[in-house]
Order: sequence, then C-alpha cells, then structure tokens
Amino acid sequence: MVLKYYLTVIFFGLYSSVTHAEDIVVELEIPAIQASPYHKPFVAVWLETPERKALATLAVWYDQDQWLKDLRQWWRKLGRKGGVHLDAVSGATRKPGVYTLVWQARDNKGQPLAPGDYLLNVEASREEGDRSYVRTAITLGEKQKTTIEPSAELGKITIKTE
Amino acid sequence: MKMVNIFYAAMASISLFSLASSALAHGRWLVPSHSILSGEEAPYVTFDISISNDIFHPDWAMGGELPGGQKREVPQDNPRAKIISELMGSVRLELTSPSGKVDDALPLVNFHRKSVSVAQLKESGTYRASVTQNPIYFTFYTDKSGKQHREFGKPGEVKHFLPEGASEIRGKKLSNRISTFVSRNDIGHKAIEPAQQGLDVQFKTHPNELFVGETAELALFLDGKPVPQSVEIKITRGGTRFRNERKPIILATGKKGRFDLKWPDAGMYLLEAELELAGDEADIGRQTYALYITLEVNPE
Repeated sequence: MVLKYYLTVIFFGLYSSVTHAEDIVVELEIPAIQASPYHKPFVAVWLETPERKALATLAVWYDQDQWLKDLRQWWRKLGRKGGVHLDAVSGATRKPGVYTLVWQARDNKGQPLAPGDYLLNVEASREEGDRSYVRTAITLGEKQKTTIEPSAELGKITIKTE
Repeated sequence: MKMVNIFYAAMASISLFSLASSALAHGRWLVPSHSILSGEEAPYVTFDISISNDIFHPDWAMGGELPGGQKREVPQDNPRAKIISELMGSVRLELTSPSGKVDDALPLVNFHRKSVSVAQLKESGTYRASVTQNPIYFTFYTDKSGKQHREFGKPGEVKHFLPEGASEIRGKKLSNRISTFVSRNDIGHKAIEPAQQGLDVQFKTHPNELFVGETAELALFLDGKPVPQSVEIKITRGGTRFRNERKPIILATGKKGRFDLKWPDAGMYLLEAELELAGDEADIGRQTYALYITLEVNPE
C-alpha cells in the first residue's frame, strides 16, 4: 500500500492555479520497495528534442552530489554541464509516494518552447538497488495524456500537456 | 591536516546508512588478482579491498598506510576521529597458507578508493585471504527532539560527547568476515575449513572449483557449527555498474545450514550473509555477524 504524498513543484516563475497552455504536468510515483537498507532513489526528469538534444531539467532529487553521476543519462545530457548549480529544480530525495510536477515549458533562457514534439525523460537510481530509465514522446500545444508503464524503480508515470 | 578532513568526511558519508535497518554496513569485499594459479615459480597475487556497494568497483579504501609514506594526522582532541582512526588502523590482510601458516604482516596501502595488498604464494594448495579488523562498536541514541543518531564506539567511550538529553542509548557490535580463496597448483582443504568464531561458509564444493552449470554445495556455519536458524544468503555477480538490475540470487539456508547453487554465469560473485544475536558484553545489547566472501565462477 503506497501512501500518497502530493507535492507541487513550480519552476521558472510564480505558480498560478490556472495552468498555462504550454504547461507540462508530470505525475510520477516512487514505488515502495522492501529492501534493507532502503535508500531513497535519486530521480531526474528532463526534456529533450526528438533528436535527443537535451533542453531543460524539470526536476532532480538527490542528496550527496558525488552520486549525481549515477543518474547516468541525465548526468550525460544535462547534469555535467550545469554542474551542481541546479537550485531552481533540485531538491532532496523523496520517500515512496506519488508526486506531481508542474512545469512551464521554457528553455534555459526562459523562452517558451515552441509547440511540437519533444521527449520526456525520467531516470531513477537507488543505492544498492536498481536503475530505471524511461522516456516517451509528447507533443506541446496539444491536449494530450501519455503514460509510461512501471519499471523497477519508477511506478506509473502520467504526463499531461496542453 | 587536509588528509584528516578527507578521511573524516569519507567516514561520515559511510555512516549514512539507515538507522532503522538491520543491515549495519555497506558492502565490502576483497578481490584477488588471480584465484587459480599453476607453475613451479612461486607467483604473486594482489588483493583489492574496498567498502563499496558497486560490486567489485571500489569506492572507499579500508585500512592501510597512505602511499609514499604520508602520515595521517588524527586530532587527539576529536574523540570521534580517534575512535574511527583506531578502527581503520586495525585493518590487516591475513593470509592463511595451505599448511596453516598465518601471515598478517603483508603490505597494505590505502589508495583512498581501495586498499591494496600483495603476497607471494610459496606453497602449493589453497590459501585463504581475509581482511581482519577490530570488532566495530556502535552507540545508537535518541536526541531531545526524538531523532535517532549513531556514533562509532561503545557507549562507555562516547557517552561524554553525546548531546545533553540523549536517551535510549544502546550499544551494538559488528564482526565482519571478509574472505576469498586462492589456489596454486593442486587445491587444498585445510585453509577452507570454516572458522571457529563468527559466520563462515563450509565448502563441500571447493571454492576454487566453481563452474557454470555445476551445482555448488555449501553450508553456513556460526562458531564452527551449522547456523541454528535459517539465514538469508545473497549472492551478487560483479559488474553491478553495468546492468540496471542488480539481480542478486537470494537463498535461505536449510537443514544444517545447507544451501546449494547452480551457477548461472561466469564471473566474480560476492556472497553475503548476516546474523544478529543478543550481545555478550556489558552495554552491548545486540551483536551482528556479517560475512562477505568473493568467489570466482569459471565458464563451463
């Protein structure tokens, strides 16, 4: 039984209860895993072009930065370039639960992203546990709901675009 | 001074394991450069020792002298650093020869990520290499706000620097056995006998005769006798960095501590087991025995 913790994370700007046309809403679950010892996973969510050019980090949850490199895809695509200066999108590791991220689709310069196709990436890595890396195509500017099936370290992921 | 800081920071991060869990420590292991050797000339074998959850990829060194004769300064006015430094300073690589000679004066160098030793195998037969260390004592306590903490050291050693209002102070003892086996020419059976103290494996199938597709017959012993209860055995193939799922083989010991395993793949494996019992020393409520054995499995 997974307890549900809702957390709304706002990036690049003030929160408004009315989502913007270009908002991406990601609901992701950190599954409860029986393990001893259990370490909360490192998680990263980021956006790429269909050609896999990284655009922006939506969220990265970690504790000690020496293990950020264990989010291997994210580290390669964005982490190593941004160093550890990720204050706007970073946070502590989270316990098992369901989390909602609301992200205004802007590039690193704060400009709205053009409507069209993108890849939404999610990676999770748990110390003494497994690693999961999943991605899906999404379309900005279209009302769309996409789901990614559960993997070892990630529960079901739902992505809503408008 | 810088060395002290690095050393101390390393220990602080190792101690980040969960307070609530039964597992007291991160993975630790001993890997030989060779486990099967042949020939007339007495060969050298190196041993890598590390505390790391990435199996056979080193993370933290475990004991040994710093390279190049660097001295590690331990601030005598820091009681925590003193306890940890004594503990790490007690680490030795112990080699038991086929005829039963024990050598614990082998060189051991601390390369920050791993400690390395080397030995020349003058006898033919099977050697046991073990990392030995003083038992690790922990003191757990709850602070005024109800948060749990842990210090290295016995309650009597750490009481004077615990914060005011510390309660539920309890001591734990952890004894690790970290071993591997190396055979030169014909295998021997003396050095693989299970130890008379703590957890160990009894090898009905010799540890240097493990091949894919064959079933190894093993048993878990405590103090030289089969374990008194069923204990979980975890066997993980090395190279966890290169697969997303660690896929450990989990077994439970049966009658007389026995467990069998048909090896699925060739490679180096880490066998782990842990048993928690009531403490047998003053102020030490619980004691844990932990076992880490590195085994080489050959392709068919």
